[in-house]
Parts: sequence; structure tokens; C-alpha cells
Amino acid sequence: MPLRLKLILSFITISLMVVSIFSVVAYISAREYTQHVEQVRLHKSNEHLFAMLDTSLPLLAQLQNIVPHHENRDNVFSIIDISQKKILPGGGFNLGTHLLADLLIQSGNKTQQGSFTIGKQEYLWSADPVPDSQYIIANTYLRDSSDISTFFSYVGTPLSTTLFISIWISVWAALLLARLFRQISEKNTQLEYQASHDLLTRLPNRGAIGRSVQQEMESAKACNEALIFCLVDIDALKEINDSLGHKSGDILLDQVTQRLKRTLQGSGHIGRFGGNKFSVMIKRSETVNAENIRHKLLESVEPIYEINGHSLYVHATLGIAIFPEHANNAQELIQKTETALHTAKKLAIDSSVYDVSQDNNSAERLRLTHDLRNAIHNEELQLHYQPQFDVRRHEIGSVEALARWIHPQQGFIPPDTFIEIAEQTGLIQSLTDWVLRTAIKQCAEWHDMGKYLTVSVNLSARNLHDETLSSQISNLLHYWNVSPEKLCLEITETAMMTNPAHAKKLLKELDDLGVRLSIDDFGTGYSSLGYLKQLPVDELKIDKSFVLNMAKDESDASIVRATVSLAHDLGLEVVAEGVEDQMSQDELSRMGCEYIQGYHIARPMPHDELTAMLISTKVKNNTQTDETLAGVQANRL
Amino acid sequence: MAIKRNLHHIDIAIRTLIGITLIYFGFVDTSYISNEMTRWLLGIFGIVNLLAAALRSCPIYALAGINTYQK
Repeated sequence: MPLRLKLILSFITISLMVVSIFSVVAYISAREYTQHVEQVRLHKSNEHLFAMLDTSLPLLAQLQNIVPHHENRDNVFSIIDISQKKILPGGGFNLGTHLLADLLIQSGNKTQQGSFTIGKQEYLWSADPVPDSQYIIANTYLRDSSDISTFFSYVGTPLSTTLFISIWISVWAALLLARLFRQISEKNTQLEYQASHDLLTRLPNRGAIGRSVQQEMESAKACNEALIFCLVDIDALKEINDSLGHKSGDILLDQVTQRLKRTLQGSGHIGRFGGNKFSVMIKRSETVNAENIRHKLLESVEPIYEINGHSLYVHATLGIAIFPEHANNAQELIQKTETALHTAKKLAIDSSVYDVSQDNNSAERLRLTHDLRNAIHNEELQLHYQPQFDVRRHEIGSVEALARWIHPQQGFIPPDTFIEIAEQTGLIQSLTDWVLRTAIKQCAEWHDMGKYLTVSVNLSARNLHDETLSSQISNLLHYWNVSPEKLCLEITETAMMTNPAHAKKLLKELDDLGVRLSIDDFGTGYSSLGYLKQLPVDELKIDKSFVLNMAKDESDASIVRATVSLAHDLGLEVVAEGVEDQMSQDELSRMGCEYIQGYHIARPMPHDELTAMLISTKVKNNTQTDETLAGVQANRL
Repeated sequence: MAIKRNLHHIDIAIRTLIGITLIYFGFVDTSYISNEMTRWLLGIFGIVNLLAAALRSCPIYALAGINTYQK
């Protein structure tokens, strides 16, 4: 039923109800009023009768004489003797006289008014005591049974007219209200559209896309289908806006919209994700998969656009994620698609399908970051030490401190994983603080045992921005009474080259402290030799990628040989890491490499194991024996 | 301001009939309705209807966006 008709009927019903209620109330009120008027009349009639009495003559005789003259068709006067409790002769009678007499005898000698009904007849009465006597005159009036019809003969026409006018006005009100509702409803629809659509392209906006994805995912789940969700990023929009004006940018967006619509031909959902991003959602089928949708979208979006007389080439980048492979809810699917798009842009490729390994923001990674923060704060990490064998002295000259994390639920977390998280989240500062504190304390304990080892600690690029690093290290060394030269700080080439000026300044401060400085992973970065020679470093660590294969690969061996030679020429000592066989060790010894480190010597181990090994192999405190290395190797893990 | 027609001729005929009837009972033959106020009310309503019919335009229709003339 249309709203207008509904309102009209409702208003007419309300009018009818109001007029009906009004009629009933008016009738009851009118009846009560006429009863009151009648009772007053009866009372006055009694008083009129009393006024005719002569107090010097016998009252009863007078009453019995006067009363019959006052009676008429409607009024009946009864004489009641309260003392003798009886109705006296001389008065009138009707059906209610005895009932009324009983009531008056019980209630006593006083003025009273009321009504009673016998059968269908209603009687009104007024009882008044005759002055200075035991008599009561009860004046009874039989009410006219045609009261209601009389009432309606008076009010019927005005009520009908009122009803007629009320209904008429109700219809007007209903029509106006219906119009108002329609206008509000239209406005709401318009607002809803504006809230869920991009007004330029008339495509669903980000919020609507999210809802639509969720709905499609639910229906796809029910039908066991897959959904492909793509984000199309129009790279050139900003440039076009800046150079040709926003009007041209708007035309471009409109043309992109038309092209996307033509490409999908109604088979998918297109949305304006925001800014220069469009979203496309389509069901995967035998003919539609991520690869061909990628081709189709790029083919449709990229050809030249003619805008305001300019021929413009637009490059688009696509991020793709698929339900259910990559996500279980709309928010996750959109987030994964954004990650894929971000990856594509970062790698400067035209499209990328979501790959969990490229996702730095996955929930798993966030959990790991949270756990790492707690682990560092609660000192739940472990510090392992990997010996560096001094080739010249045939002893363990130093150890490299390496952080290890055994996660309570996930077990061993590879250092590369959690160090990368620490570097990306800024936790590296706290991690390095902890490593420095623990390593220097351990170093002091070994020194107390008479094992004068040097401990190497790795610094990251972020640490090189820490203004307080040198003072912090100085305090720790002073606190644990460790000589500065027994601490070696390893910094990668890449870290040094991130901010060379800053790195140079910090390295100078650390060198002034007397701490040894080492260039880590040498050969893998892009450092300038001219720059490196200016740095106050003491040693150079050849990256294990060269050392691992040097026994088999002559070119790796040549690089190692050249690096050792270069380091020596610059006055630096050389550490070769990644030594995993005897041949490499022998070759490095021949090349003049000062220290070797790797699984062939010993794996990284907890401090108690290393302490036990140091004790058994008599390291760096007593006279060296040729068996030292053999002892270390025997103890290696 | 020109008054825009919004009443169909059937609508006009009905309003004219109602208007004349109400005016008759309101002001012409007062024997049917004894209450003067009621008569006046009916009479005014009758005039309103006759006026709308004469102008071929109902202001309530205009406000409510109804147009029987175009249907």
C-alpha cells in the first residue's frame, strides 16, 4: 500500500476515534450535568413545599394536605417518619419508594441526593428533612429514558460536521506528511548515495567497496568460489593534476572508469578506492584468473588518453589478492591487495599478486614484533658466542657475540628474521643496548677467570645515529673494568654508507675511546675504498660468501687474497668468516689472514659452554700449545 | 505569480458539488443545522472548495506535490 494511502487511512481512523471518544465523554458529561440540575430542582421543590408550612399547626396534617397538590407525572413526594421508621400515608409512591425509605431511615435525618435504577428506569431523588420535625420529604423523579436520543438530536449535527471537517483536515495533513516523508526519504537516499559513492566517477567508494567485498566473500564462501580483488593505481594522476590542472585529472579518472567498465562488461565490481586507486573485484572462473585479469586491466587502462588536446600515456600498477587463498575477511583481503600493490611499486613492476613473504605488516609479523619487544624488555634473549681463532698465536683471540631468540611458542627464530624486525621497528636500539651490557659483563667474567678475550658486538645502521652510544659504551667498560681494546664493534659497509658523515663522526668518538672497530661483511656493500681509508677502523671482516667457496672457486679465492692484501696495505687486520673446511683454513693462513671464524672452528655457543671450552683449551692466558686449535675443534658443536 | 492548475476536471466537478452543498447547508437553508458555528464551519469549507474549483488549483495539492490535472 502506498505511503500516502496508508497515511490517509490512518488519519481518518484517528479522526473517527477522536470524534467517537469525544461523543462518549460529551454524553457522559451532559448526563451528569442534567442529573445535577434535576436534583437541584427537586431540592428546591422540597424547600418550596416547606415554605408553605405553618409551624403553629400540626406538621403531619399540613404535609398530608399539601403534598398531593404538588405531585405531577414526573415528581413523587413521599413522607417518611425517621423516628417510627416508616412511610407515612398522604405521600406518593412509585417502584423505588420503599427502597429509598430504607436508605433514608438508615442514614438519618439529613439532606441527601442520589439516584437508583429499577429495571430499565432510572430515578433521581432529593430527600430533605422537614424543619423541626422527624419527617423527611423524599422527592423522586423518573428520568426520561429518551435522554440519549435527545442528547444526540442536539449534538449529532455538530458532531457529524466536526467529524466531516476533521476527516477533511486529516486528509490534508496526510497528504502533506506523505510529501514530507517522501522528501526526507529522497534526501536520505541521496545522502546514502553520496556517503557510499565517489561523486566524480559515480563508483562505490572505499567504505562501500569494503561492504561489497564482504558480501561477495560470503556468497563466494557459500558457493565454494574464489574472488580476485585488484587495486589499480594510476601513476600519472598527480603529474597530470599538477601540470594540466585538476579538471584534466578528473577527465582522466572518468575515462579510466569507462575503460574499466568496458573491460569488465558488468562481470565484476568496480570502485574508486581513493585518490588514484580503483578497485576491481571479480569471481575467479575457468576463463577468469589473476593472470588474465591482470593483462586485461593493464591493456585497457594503459593506452593513450586524449585529454583537452593532450595525448597522455598513463602507467598503471596492479596489486592483486585472492579470496580464499590470501584472506578470510574483506578488511584482510583489501589490506593484502594494498601490500601487493605496494610491493609492485617498490619493485617497479606493473603488477604483483600478494605474497606472504613480501608482507612486512602481516598479523604474524606484528605478533612477533610485540613478542620481541617483550623478550628484549624481560631479557629473554640469549647471547651466544662464536670463537675467532687467532691464526698467528694459535689461540682463541676473540669471540663474536650473537643474539639468539628461542620463542616460547614458535621455538628458534632465525636471527635474520628478528634482527630485521628490530631494525624496522626501532627495537634495534634496545637490542644493541642489551647485547652490549651482556657481552661486556661476560667479557669481564672471562677476564676475571684469566681468559683475556676480545668480544665483538655488531652495530646496525640505526645505532650509528645514537648520539649517546659512545658514552654508554664508555660507562659500561668503566663499570665492568674492561679495557676498551677488548671490545670490538662490527659495523657493516652498508651501515657506514647510509650516512657517511655521521658514521665517520661516531667512529671517531669510539676510536677515541680505544675500542676496536671492524668493517663487517666486507665485499658485499658498495663502499668506496677512498672513504674507507679515512675511517679509524682496526680490522676488516671478509664476508663469508667469498670464504665459503674459496676452496672450490678460484675467483672467490682471488677476491679473498686481494682483500687480505688490501687490508694489510691499509694497516688493517683481517678476519675471515664462514670457514667450514680445513683447506680454506690452510689457504687463509697462507694468505696471512689474522683471524678465522666459522663452523670449522666452532659454532656459536652459550657462554657456559664456551667457558668450559676455554678452560679445557687453555686460551690466551698461558703458553700456547699446538693442540689449541685441535682442542677447539674437538669442542665445536 | 500565476496559479498553476493542478486539478483535473473531475476533481473540479466534485469540489464544486461539495462546495455548493456545504454553502447550501451553511448559509442558505439553515433549518437543517441549528448550531450557528457548525453552519459557519461548513459554509467556509464550502467556499474553500468552490474557490479551489474556480482557480482549478488546490494549495494543499501544490504543497503535497499532487497534480490530478496531469494524470
